[in-house]
Amino acid sequence: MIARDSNHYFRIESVELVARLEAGLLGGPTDLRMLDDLFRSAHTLKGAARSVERHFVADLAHSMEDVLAHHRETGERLSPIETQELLALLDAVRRELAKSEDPTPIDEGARGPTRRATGVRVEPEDMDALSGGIAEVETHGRELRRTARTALELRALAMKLSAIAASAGSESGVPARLRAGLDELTSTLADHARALRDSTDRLDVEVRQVSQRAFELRLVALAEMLPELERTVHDAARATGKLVTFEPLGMDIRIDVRILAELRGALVHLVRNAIAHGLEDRETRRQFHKSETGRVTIRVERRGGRIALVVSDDGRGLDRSAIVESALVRGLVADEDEGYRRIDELIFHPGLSTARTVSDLAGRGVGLDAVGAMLDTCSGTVRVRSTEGVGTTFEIELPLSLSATRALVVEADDSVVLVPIDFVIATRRITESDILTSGTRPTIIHDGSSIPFRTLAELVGTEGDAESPRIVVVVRTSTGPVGLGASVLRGTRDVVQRPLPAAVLRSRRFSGASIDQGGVPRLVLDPEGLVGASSNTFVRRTAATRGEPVLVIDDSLTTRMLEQSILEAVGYEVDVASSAEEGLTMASRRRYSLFVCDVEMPGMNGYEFTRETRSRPELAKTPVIMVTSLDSAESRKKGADAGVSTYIVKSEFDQTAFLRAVAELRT
Amino acid sequence: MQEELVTPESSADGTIAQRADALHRAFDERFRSPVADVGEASIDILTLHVGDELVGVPVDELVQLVANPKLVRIPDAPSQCIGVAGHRGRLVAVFDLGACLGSGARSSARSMLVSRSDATIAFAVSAVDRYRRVPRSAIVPHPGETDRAILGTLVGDVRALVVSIDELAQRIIDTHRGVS
Repeated sequence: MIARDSNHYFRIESVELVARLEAGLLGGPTDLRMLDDLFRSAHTLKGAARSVERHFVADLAHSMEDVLAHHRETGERLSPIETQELLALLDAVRRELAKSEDPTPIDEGARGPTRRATGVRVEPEDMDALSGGIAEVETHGRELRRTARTALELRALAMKLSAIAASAGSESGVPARLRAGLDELTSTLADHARALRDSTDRLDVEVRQVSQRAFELRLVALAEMLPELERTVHDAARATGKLVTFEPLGMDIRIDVRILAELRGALVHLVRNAIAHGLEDRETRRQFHKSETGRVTIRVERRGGRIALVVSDDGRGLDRSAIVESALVRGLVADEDEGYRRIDELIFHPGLSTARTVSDLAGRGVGLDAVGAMLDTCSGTVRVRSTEGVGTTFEIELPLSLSATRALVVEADDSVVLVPIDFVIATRRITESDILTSGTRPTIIHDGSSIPFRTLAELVGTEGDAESPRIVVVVRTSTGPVGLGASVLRGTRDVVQRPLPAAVLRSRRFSGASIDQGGVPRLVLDPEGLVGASSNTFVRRTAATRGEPVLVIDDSLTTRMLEQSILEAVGYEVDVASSAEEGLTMASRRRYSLFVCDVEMPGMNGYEFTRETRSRPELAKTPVIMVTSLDSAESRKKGADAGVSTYIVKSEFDQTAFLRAVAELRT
Repeated sequence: MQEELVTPESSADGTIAQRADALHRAFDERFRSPVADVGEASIDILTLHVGDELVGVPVDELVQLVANPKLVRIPDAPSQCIGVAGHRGRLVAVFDLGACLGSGARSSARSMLVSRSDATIAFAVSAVDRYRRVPRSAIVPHPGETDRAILGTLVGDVRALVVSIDELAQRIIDTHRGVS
């Protein structure tokens, strides 16, 4: 079914896109991903405007796209003037859209049968806030239960005192008034303890119900985005002059509103790509004895706690040689062999396009990288199948919810990690002899094949004094099964997963954490973290960067933190000092492999620090890298005279060269 | 003039009766004193033990002070980050305040201060000293200080480096985003 009222949908979509562009520009895009997002929005606006013959709006959007394309390719940040220009273009778009604003109410009948007749639109952020609020109430509820237990203990104590007083008798000297008072205290405490327990029980029931309702509220039928998909098919078919049948199946399945929000854009691009790139034109289809009308289907099905979205077309299949050629031109692969080997990954690369010319629908490589970005955010996976002349199928698998997950509780030593049950292939007992060494990496045999093996201690970074794993959990990852060694399995648990704070997001081993009954965060494994652990990450940490730490000495907090984060990002252990004097004190207490030192500091300066360390036998051999803004021959000479090993000027600072110098001097 | 609130912990070591007495006297003194400070701009500072040092933080930059947070270490996190903790149903990244200030003093996380500017960031300290209301003039800026996180030194009965945890939190976020 094709959307019937293009203008209607254009009005809805353009308002959303303009708002998205405005918010993005005003927020100041700081990374490539945000620039990508802005670029895609401008691109979509242009295509949508063109299809309803709003050419001036399309031209304005095209101008925005041109500005953003440059930054997207180079990664340069937008200048304030460019941001202003883009906002002015956006204002012009808004004025143009307002000219044709149709004041008549939207005909409900035109919305199609899948649109909900009633209800309000709730933003994912609001749903997150609601879930967070409920979690907070649960936390307070736990405190209340503890108080209820204390009240019971007090009652027991009062009863004991009352019994002692009663057994003592009147001749013991215990006044009758005290006995009566203790009886009254016991009775009052009993009443209060009972009332408190009843209240907490009721609160538990209510909170459970509210929590369940909130969870259900988060779930939205995929059919919500049908009008947008139908509109995409309509527009793309019209723009390319192709005939298309669109078949959505299983769209009544409900998924988390946050996943739906991420999925929306990705699915639109996938469908648009299928029509623009996948389907042949009518003439070609006739020549290949195919129906003139191409077919695009979306089939959605549940697979345990996940859903699969299978997007297929009956077109020409992936143009593998064009993809490899495009990747070679952009320097993404070294040669054709590598290109063909990595083809499934290359098609999701930002900016890679096989279209010969840039058009409204294709040619800027916007489409599939949007899918890649969505998969990263939602912990999804994708498989691509393509047969020349028969068609292409993208099979996307996503969790039903980003928040509620059934997880296996895995324990080793003092560490507990939650493994999402959807990724668990098998668990079994192992002994030391089951762990083999293939090359430099341990492996185990699973289902007759050798698979990588990692320990939970290795994953959480406590490998030093870890005990031998007794159990292996075989986990599904994008590169195949990986064995995770642990000590104990504590069964499964339904957990509410929360995202890690932005400041620690660079940990790729965990997708979030769940706060348990005792208020302790429990990390949730990201299966792809095991893939990282089996490749570069651990090699870096265990090879060149192992050994004595580096001491960074600088009076500027910002410089200290930046240098520290650069060094730590590649695995060095780093200590910091805010003055040369402090650096000397620290160096007298701990051995360092290298000093990274500023020159101009209050008190002792960098030259004096270097001279002082050269004069002390225990520090004389520790190399010094001087990182300073002083860029004169005299300063360099002073550094060399003092005994500095490498002199780096801040204005010429290059991370790679810095890290190379660090690595060379430490050996 | 620097004015201090006397807390039971701050009074001389002794019996509960002595402490109660100290509180009593402090209350009476405050009650008797004229409302002279109202005219002078004051600032509320929480002083904290960070390793061996005393550090002050403006109270209006805090959402909450949490005692004995339960932390879980995150591998690969920045080294100043000593783990994550649960706070009001959300996760917060807990940074060692001493390490963030480059003092090299690692604080055992006895308490954490949740930042107001970004409630996903908290700072761990060894112990809380006390709350103080002080005249703004008691915080002496460092001549030539370019670091916006360093507000100055609190002078008077005690000396403490006064830092802005808003600024430190923002710096952590900027560093995370790769903005220098």
